[in-house]
Amino acid sequence: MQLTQSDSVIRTESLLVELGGLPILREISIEIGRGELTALMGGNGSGKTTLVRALLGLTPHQGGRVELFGLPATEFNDWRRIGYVPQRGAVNIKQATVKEVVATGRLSTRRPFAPTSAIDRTKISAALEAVGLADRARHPFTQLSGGQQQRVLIARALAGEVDLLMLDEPFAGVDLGVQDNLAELIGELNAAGTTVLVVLHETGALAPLLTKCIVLREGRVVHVGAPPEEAEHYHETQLPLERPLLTGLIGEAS
Amino acid sequence: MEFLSLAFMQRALIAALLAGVTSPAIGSYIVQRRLSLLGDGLGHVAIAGVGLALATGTAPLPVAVATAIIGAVIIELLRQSGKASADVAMAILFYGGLATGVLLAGLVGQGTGTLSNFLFGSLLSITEADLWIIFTLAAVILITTIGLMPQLFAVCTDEDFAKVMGLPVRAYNLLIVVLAAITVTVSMRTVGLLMVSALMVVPVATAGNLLTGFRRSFFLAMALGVVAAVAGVIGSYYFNAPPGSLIVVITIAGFVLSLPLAAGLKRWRQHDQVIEITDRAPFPHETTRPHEGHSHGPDCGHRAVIHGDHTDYIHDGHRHAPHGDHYDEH
Repeated sequence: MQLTQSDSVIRTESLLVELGGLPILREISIEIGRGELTALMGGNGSGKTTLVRALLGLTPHQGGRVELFGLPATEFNDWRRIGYVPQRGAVNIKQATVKEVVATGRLSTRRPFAPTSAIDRTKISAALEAVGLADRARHPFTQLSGGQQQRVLIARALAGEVDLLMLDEPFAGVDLGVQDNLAELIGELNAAGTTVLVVLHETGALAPLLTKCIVLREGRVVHVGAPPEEAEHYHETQLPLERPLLTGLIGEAS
Repeated sequence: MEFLSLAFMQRALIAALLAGVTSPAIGSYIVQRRLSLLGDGLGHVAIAGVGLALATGTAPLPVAVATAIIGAVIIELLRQSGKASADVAMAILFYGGLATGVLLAGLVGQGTGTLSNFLFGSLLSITEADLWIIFTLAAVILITTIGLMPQLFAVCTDEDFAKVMGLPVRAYNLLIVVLAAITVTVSMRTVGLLMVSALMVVPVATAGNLLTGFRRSFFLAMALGVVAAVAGVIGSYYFNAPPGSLIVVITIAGFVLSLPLAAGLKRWRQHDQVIEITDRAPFPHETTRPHEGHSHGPDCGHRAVIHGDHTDYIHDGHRHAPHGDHYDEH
């Protein structure tokens, strides 16, 4: 099986996803190689989240194929290599400490009825350390700020043996300074060898770190290539003023 | 304490203990999954089983267990289908169960009198055979809810993430409702089918008010459940009331008492709650002399404010951070 040795981490061929009979994604053929930091961009309803969910097998696809680490997605089962950070709003945690949330990231390797092992504990602490929340381990998750919750969800994803990290809108509802911190963290993880696919509304703080940018519009890939110029251009056509105006205002205020 | 020498009270107390410990155990997951009324629906379904047993003259407990498990599987399959009509289908299932039970009991002349022993609990009706079944089922519930805590917790908090972890999410979801169905029947004799849901949900809410963390409040909820169930059974011996009513009143009293306590705890905890400030401007400050005999740190008890590259501490009108041999005062 030389395929598993290949440098392709994610590959899709003519992927078709329909929800309720409506095509949401059409003819999606993308490839993401090892070590890349790829942004998946597009406006609301362009299919970004659906694509990530289809890659992970959370949303079934009606046509084409998905490969993860060189294997057809149906044969892939080495889930500890994938770290998934869903949108913060999709997570329903009522009563749990930060550590308990991060500990669920070990479940891809943990067997039923097995107690927490020393490796589990080390990995959980290391993941909390990596996101700078080691001193928050015993805090209730719900009492953290939005940025801190986002970092907990990243730590949860990192607690496995992650080679590929997929983040869905990690900057949503997080203020600009914290976005910088998160971007720095994502950059560090990528520099350490983790392949990253991040769904973004705008390149923002991650712009200088991106190796590739995939832009979706109405369920089709309209751009694959170098950020940030193309992506900025894309934004100017979609959202002409918002971003520059906002950046300008904040720049002046500080 | 003369009730301890009565055989029926001994059986009732053991059954109460088991109901009290198992109900909040599975209830913790159900509350986390925001399905607090699931136990109530399962209780209604189990009534059909009791009616069937009364009509056929068999032992009610095994029939109720089987009926509730079948009902639980149907409920979960309906829920997983995700159809809008699933909601109505569940309502039909719940009231169909209740009506069938009452009807079957009535047809054989057992009336609502006998049935009410199962609806509201009864001290006198627990047989030794019942107790063995209850004990076995309770063991199954406790081993699974504690042994599979990480998996069940993950499925209840974030199903998608659990799937990406490679967990068989559908199977675990099914397991949760089946365990809930078994719990309902375990508690049927003491709390009663119409009120068992309260014992599954209320101690969990109370524990959540008092402790942080899933695991710690899980075990506290079990302890609270045991206290309420046992106290309710003892009280009903003296007041000659159905034990279920007393158990539920006690759990709710516990919840009400926990509210002011929770408010106090929250204020106390805010001491070490951290605020994060992320302005990008350089931080204006003046320098002040260091404290005599106190150094600020993560455990110093003062409110911490993460402020860019350093952490400030708030106390007595100061907000400042240690910097070398002095403090930077904001």
